[in-house]
Amino acid sequence: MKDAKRWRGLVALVRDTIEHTSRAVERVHLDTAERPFAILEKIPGVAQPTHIVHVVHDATVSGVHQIVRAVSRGVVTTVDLALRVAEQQADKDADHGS
Amino acid sequence: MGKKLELAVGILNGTIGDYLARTGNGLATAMQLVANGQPIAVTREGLARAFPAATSRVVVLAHGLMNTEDVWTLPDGGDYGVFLARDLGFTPLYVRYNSGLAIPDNGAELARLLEGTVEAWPVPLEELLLLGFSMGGLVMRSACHRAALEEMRWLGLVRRAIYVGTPHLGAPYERVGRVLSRLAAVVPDPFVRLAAQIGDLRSDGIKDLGDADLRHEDRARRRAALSLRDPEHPVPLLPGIRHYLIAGALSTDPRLAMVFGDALVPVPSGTNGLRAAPGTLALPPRHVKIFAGMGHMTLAHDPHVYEQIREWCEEDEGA
Repeated sequence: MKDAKRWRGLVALVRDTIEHTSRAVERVHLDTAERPFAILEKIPGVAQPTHIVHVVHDATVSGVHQIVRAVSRGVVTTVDLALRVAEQQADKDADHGS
Repeated sequence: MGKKLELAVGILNGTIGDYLARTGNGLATAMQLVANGQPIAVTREGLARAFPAATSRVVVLAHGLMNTEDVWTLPDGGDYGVFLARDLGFTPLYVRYNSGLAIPDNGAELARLLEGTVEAWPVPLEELLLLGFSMGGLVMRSACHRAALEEMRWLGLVRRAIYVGTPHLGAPYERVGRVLSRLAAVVPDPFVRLAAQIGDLRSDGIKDLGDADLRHEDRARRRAALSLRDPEHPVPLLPGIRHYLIAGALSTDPRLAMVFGDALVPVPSGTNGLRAAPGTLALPPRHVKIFAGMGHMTLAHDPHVYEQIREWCEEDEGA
């Protein structure tokens, strides 16, 4: 019981770590790209196309990180479910054994 | 394997235990009494089953940050609790807790745990000896403070408290880390800010060690200034208890020992600046022992340290 609780805790921790890391890396990625984009967007002539690239870039970065987070949530939910099923099965086996 | 797993969980709790508790994570350790690595039910039946030879004198051992009760184990087996049982008839109670939680939270929880234990102890209790290592000593002080406020019964049974490597005036490394983290947070660079955020993930327990915060109101007054000691510690050692302090010093050079102490706790912090109350020199010199050439972790499991503990307990017998 204690082991199952800890396994589920570990799975939740992995999910949280991926979630927070992905958000932090996304923020760094966007902030880092912001500097050259900001400079280019002030230069007449290239400002307009740069802005379009900027928007596409930011959307792509955010999209990739959202996919990473969604996949990790899916995997973690599946593993958590499997752990609960295994735990219930173990409880049933213990009941039959006693 | 079991002990290593518990140690890994203990380290995780010390690092981010406040987050684990806040998110209801199953890896968060609940405060509990343990015997042979197993939790004990704090009921009359549970305690009687765990301690069939319970005595009227109990020693409560609290580990430090990122530890488990295994930190007390000497290389060749045994620990201070086992030795006190053998030599002076104490029943050892080992506390395991989430060292990443705020010290006041752990103190309040320990106070409740001890109250429940005293209520359910199988034989009439005469004495409760407190023995805290590192952060464990601060948790015990916080528990005593809470017990005094709430007039808990167990505090009246405490005659002695022994602190081993406890940073009574705070841990300067944490204060340095706090300042660096604050400086990094204002640097206009995404990578440096990320590093600051990662640094700031350290647990409430670690942050509390900076100024040895024993109460929630103390936590609110965190200072930015770098200092090796906190001269205005607002919670003095309780006057109704005999306090004994053990500090380590890696170097035999007095100046280096003052600054670096046992590598984690400077000597002035480990000895509470030799003050029982601000501005007074109320701690008798014989209540303070500095072990030269001894590192922080070694203090928790060294035969010489145990000899000192036993000597204090025996000396007190006749006092």
